Amino acid sequence: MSSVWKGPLERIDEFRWRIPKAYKQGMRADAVVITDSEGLEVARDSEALEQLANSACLPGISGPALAMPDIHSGYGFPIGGVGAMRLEDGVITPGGIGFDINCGVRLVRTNLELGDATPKIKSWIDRLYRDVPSGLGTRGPVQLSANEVRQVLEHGAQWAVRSGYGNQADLECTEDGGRMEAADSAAVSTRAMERGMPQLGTMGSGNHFVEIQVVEEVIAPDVAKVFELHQNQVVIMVHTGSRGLGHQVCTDYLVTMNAALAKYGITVPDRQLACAPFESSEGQRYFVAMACAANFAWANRQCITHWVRQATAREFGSTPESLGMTLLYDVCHNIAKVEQHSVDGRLRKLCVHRKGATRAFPPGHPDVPAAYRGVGQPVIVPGDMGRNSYVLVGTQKAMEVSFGSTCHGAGRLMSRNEALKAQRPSEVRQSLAEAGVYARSASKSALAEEAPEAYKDVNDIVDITHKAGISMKVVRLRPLGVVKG
Amino acid sequence: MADVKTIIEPFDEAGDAAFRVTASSLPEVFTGCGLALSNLILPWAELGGEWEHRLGMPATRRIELAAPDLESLLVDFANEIIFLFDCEAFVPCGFEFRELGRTEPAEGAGAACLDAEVAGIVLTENALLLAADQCGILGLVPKAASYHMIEVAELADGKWTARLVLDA
Repeated sequence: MSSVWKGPLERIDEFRWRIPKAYKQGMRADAVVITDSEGLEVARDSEALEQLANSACLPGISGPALAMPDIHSGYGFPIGGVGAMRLEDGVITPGGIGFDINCGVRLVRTNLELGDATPKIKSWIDRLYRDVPSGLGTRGPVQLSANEVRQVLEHGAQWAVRSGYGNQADLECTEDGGRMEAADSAAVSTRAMERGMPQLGTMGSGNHFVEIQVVEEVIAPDVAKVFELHQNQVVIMVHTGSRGLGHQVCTDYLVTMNAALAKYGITVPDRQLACAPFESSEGQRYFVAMACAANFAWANRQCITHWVRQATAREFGSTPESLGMTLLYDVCHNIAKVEQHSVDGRLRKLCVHRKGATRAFPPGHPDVPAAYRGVGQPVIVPGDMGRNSYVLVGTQKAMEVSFGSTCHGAGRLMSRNEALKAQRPSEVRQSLAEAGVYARSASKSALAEEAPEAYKDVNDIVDITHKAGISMKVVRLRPLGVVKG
Repeated sequence: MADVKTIIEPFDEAGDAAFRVTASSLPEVFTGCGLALSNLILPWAELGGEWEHRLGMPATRRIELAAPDLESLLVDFANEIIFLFDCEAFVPCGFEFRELGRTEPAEGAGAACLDAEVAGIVLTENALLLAADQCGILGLVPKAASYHMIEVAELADGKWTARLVLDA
């Protein structure tokens, strides 16, 4: 069902390509893809570029609609899409954020070396599989009352730390301190809370995972030193989001936004781009509900970090503190935030939508934790479970060309259906084992659906971001074992 | 399991799960979509006979919806099935529609509505624990149904068709 792009693409420089505003009626700005010529060919063979052009039709868009190098087809915005909207006359759209609000990734350091992990990898992964619940069809380990779920929605990871799931240092190394203050749980439906209450502290299915990795190569030693990363160090990556609560918030507000289109006289080229003016009652209500879902996601990753620490400590007969299990950083992939950016030489507040894109703020930015402010924000980029992942660092160039944004992962090449046809889960498990990666999965088909071949090579994607200057390589990671949802 | 004379064709879209369903009536199309989604969550077609009795307790649920159009109604219907699984581990096996179709605008807020009795099972904790140890009987639990490429239409030959894309 793929469509091949036949519209114009003008080369701006080696890594930027423009779809001019004149491409189709309704575009209010240009659209710009950050990629190389090979990446562009992949993007051409999908709906992603049309979706990018569609996102440039939204009222109040400031500067171009952008796509990061891992661009691929989504719903509404393409995955890898970034759209910055003016507050005074711009809109907010769930289609620019996605169903899994604040899906994101964090990296936990350890003081374990490769030699410590290798002999234990199977039992360690088995333990993580048992102790980090997938939450599929069953209740998670954190039982919340209705009042407590409101606390989670309004306080995010801060609630989790107050409840014993982590420490203050974790919050300092989480975007926004793990809490969007705008959150108002009154804007979240009872249905969303019903879905979320049993799912806190669970991973979910799809592409979510807990992965044990090793630092395979240090590329920028000075920055790696500040990030406290070194060669052969074992680290743990956690990838999950806001679970059913966030999905329900998105579902609920798509209905609200579709109804709001006529009220505000807005026309959009795709129903998934239904939106409302940011400052309207509908827009503000969605923004504060989305903030609640973002907070839920941060609390979720914080609780999972706690289970990971406990499981690892038991595996090594030690404590998380003795094992040096500190958080490097936690980044969001699917979110809208009010940020200050320079537009035509003037600082303006914008509602920056990132859908499958990561914030990548530069050295000196006040939103970068004090410990990293001298070098820039850590950017954690997961790859597939057979190849690499990366830690990058944010740059000034990203502030100038991509509203402080960069890629979020490898980007899919195959649909789940194609991936399932290509290999059986047992074949994927076997080929991963041959590559030195021990994998377990809570769902029947996840290993096949998430096979390395289903994704672009993250090494290529990260090369582009590095050469384009929107984030720079710090270390390359290699997987040792993975628990898939 | 319901005997559905329906064509269900999965297709590749946006890296997620998608299918087209064609049948002789609108209720059969909605039933086909419901069963395709249910089979995605729990691939019962691979489980063999009597799976309902082995894995869960029989149960029924009622779904009542109103929406601005048939496409929105299908999205809402699919989202209701996902919600029932997420909250109650309820997996549908059959649908009986008391009401399904377009309504006169004067009748209420929605221009399309649905009232269905859904037969299914609630998966037991034991079935899920066993499933986890064996790397899962569960398939893919979608996040939500999307409006992407959504279509519900009556064909020239009187059959009905629907296209549904799920964000996984």
